[in-house]
Formats: sequence, structure tokens, C-alpha cells
Amino acid sequence: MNNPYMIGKHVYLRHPTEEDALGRWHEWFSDEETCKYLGDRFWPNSKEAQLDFLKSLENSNRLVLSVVTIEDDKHIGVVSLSQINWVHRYADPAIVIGEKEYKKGPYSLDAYSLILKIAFIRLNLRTVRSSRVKSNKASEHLTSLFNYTTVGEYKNLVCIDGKYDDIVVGMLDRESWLKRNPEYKQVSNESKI
Amino acid sequence: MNNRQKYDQAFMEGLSIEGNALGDNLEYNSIKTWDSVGHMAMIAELEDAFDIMMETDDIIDFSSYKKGFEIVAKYGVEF
Repeated sequence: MNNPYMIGKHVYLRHPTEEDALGRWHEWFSDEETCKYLGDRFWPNSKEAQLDFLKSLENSNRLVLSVVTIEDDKHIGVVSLSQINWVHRYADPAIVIGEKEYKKGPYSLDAYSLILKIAFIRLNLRTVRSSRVKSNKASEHLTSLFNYTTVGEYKNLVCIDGKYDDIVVGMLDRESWLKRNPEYKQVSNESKI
Repeated sequence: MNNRQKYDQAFMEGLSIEGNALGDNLEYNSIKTWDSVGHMAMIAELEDAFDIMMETDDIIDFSSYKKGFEIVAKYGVEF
């Protein structure tokens, strides 16, 4: 492992590098299948744009981390916490597994569990928010499994494959997250002091 | 329905498979429907069937039909 920030069972998360940007990262955000449910990825991506994005992360309220396999140290995707609000202590997590042979395995679940652990334990946030396309079954299962509460829907807001679809908005607070991660309950109680 | 039958039913519902696909050789990614989406659907079926909530580590460790018995048993389910 190289410079791990958080280690899981199948993947670890680390600071993204120029090597990542110049590798296949930029290709994931041109790929039609990968971008299908991403809200703001309409234009083709490039190495230059990816490098610009990497530089833009300095001093921003956004944490982006590379998802790397423990077994063979391969960069397979990215996770992020966006819109981090240090006053109200919330953020918006997201995950993209770009390497297609890793989409079907346990890597996304592992990486998503790590970014939530970072949010609630390492950064001491209170709440995370989700916004998913209703027909995206992977996101539906993921948010359900991690105990997100649905708080509303934007009807017919986005166009996916030529059909308008709803956006389902959800929230997950630390207490709900702890139900599946009881080993951190003491840490959470101490942080309230 | 006994617990073994509930366990099998959750697998069949979650992974959209027939009973003859169940067995010790059934592992994550060994069949088309046990992918990341199928995995989460199957875990949800198991949690509903036994009225339990698994810890995140156990959900990630749940790598096979055989291993699942050991994990589900941690939540007080007897087979």
C-alpha cells in the first residue's frame, strides 16, 4: 500500500496523485456507462481536465480520495465528500468505481463504508446527504443498506437514456450509521463532550 | 418455515436463483446475479427474514453461502 488514508478489507483510500489523473481516471468520466447516473458529466473528459480538477482540490471544501485495491495496488475508482460544511457538519458522499472488472465485486461496498467512516469518525461530521436517480438500483440498495432515510423526491428532474426520472434525496445521521458500526459508539459518545 | 429454509429462501429471492443453485460452491461472483447489487439485495432479504441488522464488516465479509451461516449465527440465529 502506498500512503493509505483509510484501509478496508479489499481496498484502501489514499490521496489522489498526478499519476492517477494521467492514468485511467480521466477515461472513467468519459465512459457512457460509468457516467449514466452522474448528474454533471455530459462532456468528454481529458487528461488535462483531470489534472485541472486535481489542482482544484487544494483548499476546497471537498475531499476526493483514490480507491486502490489492497491485493495489487490498482487504482480502480474514486470516493468523495463534497459540500463539506464545517459549521453544520454535513457533507455529500459519492463513489465511482471506474474499472469495469471491479464494479461487480465487493469493492464499492468496501470503499463506500470507508468514506462514511471518514465522514463520521475521522472528520466528526453529523450528517451525510444522498441524491440518487430513482431507477439506479445499485444506489437504491446502497443507501438502504447504510440506513439512509428518504426525505423527498424531485419528480421528473433528470433525463436518463431518453426518459425523465426522479431524484430521491436522503439523509444519514451518525446515530443511524452507528447501528451497523457499533464498535465506534464509544468514540461517538466521547466526541459529544 | 425453519431457519435453514428461511436462509435458503433469502438467497433465492435476493439473487433470483433456484434452489438447486444453493450449496457450498456458491460464492460471491460465482454466478451472474451475485454481483454487488445482488449482494446487497440478498443481505436485505436475510435481514428481513431474521429481523436482524448486520454490521458493515459482516456484510463485506459475507463471501459465500457457506460463510453466511457462520455470520448469521452471530446474530442469534440457530441452524
